[in-house]
This record gives sequence, C-alpha cells and structure tokens, in this order.
Amino acid sequence: MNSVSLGLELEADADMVSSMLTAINDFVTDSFTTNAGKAEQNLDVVRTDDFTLLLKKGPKASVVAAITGNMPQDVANQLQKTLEEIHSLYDKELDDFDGDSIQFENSEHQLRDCLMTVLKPDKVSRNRPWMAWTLVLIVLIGSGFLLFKRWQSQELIEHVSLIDKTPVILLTNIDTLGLEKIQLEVMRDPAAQSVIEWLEQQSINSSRVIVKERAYLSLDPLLIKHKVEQVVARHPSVTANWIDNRPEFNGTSTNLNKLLLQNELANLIGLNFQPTWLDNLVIEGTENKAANDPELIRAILDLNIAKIDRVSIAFEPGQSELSEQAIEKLIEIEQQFSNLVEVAEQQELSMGLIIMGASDTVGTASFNKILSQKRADNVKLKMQELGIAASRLNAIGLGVIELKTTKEGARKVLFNVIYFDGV
Amino acid sequence: MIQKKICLLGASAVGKTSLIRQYVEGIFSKKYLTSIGVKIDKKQVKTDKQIVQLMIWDIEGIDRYCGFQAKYLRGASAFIIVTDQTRSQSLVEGFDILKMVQEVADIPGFLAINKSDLPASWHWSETELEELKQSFNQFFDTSAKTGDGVENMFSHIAKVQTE
Repeated sequence: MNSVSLGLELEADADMVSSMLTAINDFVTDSFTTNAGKAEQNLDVVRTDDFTLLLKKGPKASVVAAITGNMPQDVANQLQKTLEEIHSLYDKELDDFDGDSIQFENSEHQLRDCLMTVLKPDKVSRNRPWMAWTLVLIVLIGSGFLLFKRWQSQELIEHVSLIDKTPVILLTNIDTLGLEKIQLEVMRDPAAQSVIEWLEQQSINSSRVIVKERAYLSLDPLLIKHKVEQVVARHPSVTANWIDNRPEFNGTSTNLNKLLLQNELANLIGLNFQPTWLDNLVIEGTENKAANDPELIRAILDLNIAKIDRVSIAFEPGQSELSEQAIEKLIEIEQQFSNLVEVAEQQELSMGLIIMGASDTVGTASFNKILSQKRADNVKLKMQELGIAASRLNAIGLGVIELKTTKEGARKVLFNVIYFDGV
Repeated sequence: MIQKKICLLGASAVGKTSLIRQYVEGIFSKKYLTSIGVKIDKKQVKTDKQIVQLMIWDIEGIDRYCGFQAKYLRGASAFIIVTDQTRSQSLVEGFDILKMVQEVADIPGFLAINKSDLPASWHWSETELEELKQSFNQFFDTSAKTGDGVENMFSHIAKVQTE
C-alpha cells in the first residue's frame, strides 16, 4: 500500500517485493505447517549477507523493513509500533480496501518515523569499531603485561631453585602467587639464618617472595657447628677449635661456667657431647663468688641431680642381687650425692634420694611387687653401707612397669633426688 | 492508481509464462516458479477511468505432480486460465482447475486459448461454446509468440476491475 526508503541506491519495487514476500510466506506455510496444527506460519526475519528483512504481520496489514548492515535493536519494536498506529489510523480504509492505495498515502509519515528512529542507533554503531579496537589494544597490552610478569616469576623461581643448597633451609615447595610474587614453602632450623637473609645473600629481592616456614631440627654438621659456636659465644673466655668435625674447647673458665657450658653443650641434639672435650679448659679463681649466689648454687645442684637421675642399676631376670658394675655405679652415686648433700646443707636445703625398684612382666604381679621392692631395698642397704644416712634414703618397689617395650629394660632400680627448703 | 491481483493458472506447458513475458515489467527470474511455485510481475494498464496496476501472479503449472495451491489465490481480483489449443487435454484440465478455483473464490475468471498462431486440435461445438460463456466471464484467443490478443485480454480485465 505504501513504501518509504532511505537513500537506497537500488530501490526495490515495493509492490512486487511485498507481493513476493506474501507468496513466500504462503510457500513457507504450505511447506512447513505440521499436520497437528494448521496455524499459519509467518515470516519474521529473512536474512542475507547484506540485507535483513524484518516482517511484522498485523490482522489487516503487514509492515516490512529492509535493513542494510546490522539490524538496530529497537527496530523491531518501532515496526510493531508503526504497524499498530497504521491499524488504528486506517482501520476503516483497511476494511474497505479494494486495491486503491491512494488513501494510504499519508501513512508515509508513520513509516518515515520508523526510518528516523532507526537512523540514530546506526550512528552509535559506527563508533563501535573504534571502541572495539581500543578494547582489543587494551586486552593485548594487558595480556602482554601479564605474560611479562609471569615470565619474571618463572625466572625468580628458577633462580631460587638453583640456590636450594643451603643445608639448614629445605625448600619443600615453590610456586607463583598472583601476578609477580612467588611463594616458598621451606623448613628451617630455628638456629639457622633467616630465610630473608638467605635470599638476600643470593641477591634475590625478598619483597617478591612470600615465605611459609616450618621449624625442624637439623643434624647437619655445619649447623651443629654453628650451634656450638653460638653457645661458646656466650662464654667469652672459651674458644672452640674444630678438628675433624669435633670441637675442642680451650681457654679459661670457672668451675661454675664450665658446668653451665657443659650443660648447654650436652643439650645440643646431634652433637654427641663428651665431658672430656672440656678437659683442656683452665679452671681459674675460686667459686666463692659463685657460692654466694643461691641461684647459681641451685643451678649446679640441678645439673648434678640430673646426673644422678639419669643413672639406673640393671638386674638379671628374677634376681635382686647387685652385680659388680652395679656396685661401682652406686659408689659413684654415693660420692655425687654426698657432695650434693654438703652443698644443700650450706644452702639450708633438705635433700633425699628416692630409690625405685622395678621388674619386667615375667611372673605374677605379687611376685614382681616383692621383687621390685627387694631390688630397691638392696640398693638402699648398699648406699647405707657406703655412708649415706638411712634418713635420706627411701626405697620403693614400683612392681611391674607395664610397657611392652620395657620387657628387657624394666629390671632396674631408678633414682630420683628431691630437695626442699629447710634442713 | 488502483492495484489488482490477477492469477495466471493452467496445466503444464500451455505457455502461461511465455504469454506475459513480452507484456509485463518483470524483475523476478523464472526460477521462482520451480522453487516456490509462483512468479510475480506487474503491468500498468490505462483504462478510460484510471490507471490500474495489475499484479500478475504466474502460478506453477497444475498437473498430477503438482497440486492446486489455493493459498496463492487469496486476495486476487480475477484469474486467467490458460489452455493450449494444440492439446485438447489442456482444455479438460483447464475446466478441472476452474472447478477448484470456484470452490475457494468467487471472482471473475477469464480463459486464454493460447498458441493461436498454430493450428487448433479441436473445434468448438455449439454446446461447448455455451458452456464456455457460462463458466468464464470472457475468453480470448492469444499467441505468446506474436503477442496477438494478450494486450487486449489484460485491458479488458483492467476495465472489468474498474467497473
């Protein structure tokens, strides 16, 4: 009935196109109508490489838009609006239509509205390539930057992996973290240098490294040497010389300091400390000064008590008799204990020795109870013979020490030195 | 200007497409006929009163392989059934088509007896002519080859449309 066009170079014959579209629509209806539903099919969009035909069918008339390029989003809505307007404005004319299209000439306004509206989004779409290129450029730069950062992280990981030769810092895992950081999981002996120091030594920028650290005890000779040197450093008058991974201590020391040093060294796991290593130390001065300091006296006491507590007397199975080695040990203990008693009295401390007998699991409980008591009593008797006052000794039979692993080792007498204030 | 849809019907190979080839302004190629079964052309005809634009729907030949597409008749103002005067069978088929059209549409029908440049294979008896006059609004002898009778037929149809 009417057509408008917006500068199309090849102006299609609207009459023939609309007739042909009607024919095609009929063709589609005939070809694709299912048997179940005889409803008429309506063409909605016909798309070619360059053109899009958008069809809106109303009860009495149809509107078709031929669109070049991309179809703007609201064109469908606008067409629908136009179709409705035409229906309401030309209701009677449509009913009476007999092929005379002159009465629809004014519908050009409605159709043109449609064209105008469609033009605006067209302008926006022209801007799109520019925006798209900017976007592509940003994405390219961004991904390039990311790749560069990732490459840097990989370089750092390789660098760190290569220096994983320090004995006391064990690299357990290494991974990238975020954009430019790497994460190290390490195990470090607390006595060793810090990881940050370690990294900086290798001229690695520690700000890019996140460290997760777990403590472990290293038995590496290098670190044990380091630990010994730390101990020695606290005793300025003592020096340590290393011969075949074994320290030899020289210098001067008081008896007290020697004891303290001995205790510290004995506590170093992996050193296998022998007291004879300190034999070269020259003892100087008196212990008067030290003797006046109750805290130091207590320290010495504790050290010597620990020595006695560590001793145990072994027995043959089912026996309570003391062996020769046992008697030798008891002589040594008697001497140590007598010395302790002397010091304790000076400090107005009351000191006692608890002798604890034990047996293995062989035999009845009552037998073992008696056996353990007898072992303790025999030791107590021997100690008395050696000169310790019975009032300081207390023998207890513990009976069976119920530990499967102690079957061999449970036939023992153990010691526990106790002291408390007041003589 | 008034626009009217005219359908061109008939059996296969009676010369429907050839009949209008010289006469109309066509933009669609003949292949539409075989693909979707219809080709549309237009022709403006000036009558005493006004100009009538005829939209001529050239519909695929109807035979035992290709059924009658009633849908293409929708909105038509008139139809022309084309027959081939060298084949009497085409006239029989033409009457069959006429019946089918009359079942779906109440519009004027015209008969084009085509290939008038060739010798006819049949002659009209009095009763046949009577039947023709009753069935069709008008009938014309046409020749697609020489163009004889074609313009006359469409002018007459256009005139009928404006009356």
